Amino acid sequence: MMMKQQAREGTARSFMWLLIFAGLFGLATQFFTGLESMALFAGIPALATLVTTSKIFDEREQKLLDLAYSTAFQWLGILLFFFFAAYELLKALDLGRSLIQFANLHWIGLVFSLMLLLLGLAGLPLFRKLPDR
Amino acid sequence: VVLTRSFEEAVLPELRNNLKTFRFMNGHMTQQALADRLSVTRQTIYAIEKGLFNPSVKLALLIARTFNVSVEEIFFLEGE
Repeated sequence: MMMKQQAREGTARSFMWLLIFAGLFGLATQFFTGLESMALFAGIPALATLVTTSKIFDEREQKLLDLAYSTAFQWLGILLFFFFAAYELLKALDLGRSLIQFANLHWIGLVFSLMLLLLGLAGLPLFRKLPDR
Repeated sequence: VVLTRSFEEAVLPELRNNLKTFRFMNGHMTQQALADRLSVTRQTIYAIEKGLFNPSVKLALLIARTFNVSVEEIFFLEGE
């Protein structure tokens, strides 16, 4: 049982790294034609594993995970609002057509990958390793 | 950066505890040993002792039961 407990200590932190990796990978794949769907293939299993595995988290870890979700979604909302404003401004000024076209084609992958990245970045400092004393 | 603070953090007095003292009074029990008995991680015990995490009523009761004392003997509000 002790081994199980010790093995569990780093689980949440490992998941945060996994989400960061999946997010960065997903963002990168948006720039390679034909590989865009890889963002979903990498991100969905990462997210699904986190959701199912988090059931074994204890109450402190659950609370930290909730905090990570809330922080990540607040930042996602702010960033999407900012990007949408920039998108509308560029459209109105008839600037950056290729950028607008890119956003139109890849917004699902971009938003999904950004969500994973923010969730990982919000959770990583929360699940930091605590000392013994 | 966390944008929101909970009502608990903003308004209520801090929760303090004597958990470390009780661990040592009970045969120098380690954080890991207590964590194993409560089915939580050692880091959770550390976080409770340092005041980084307030346990639920359920966990507080389980901790008190482990040491055969009342919850108030282990947990108390700052200034009391």
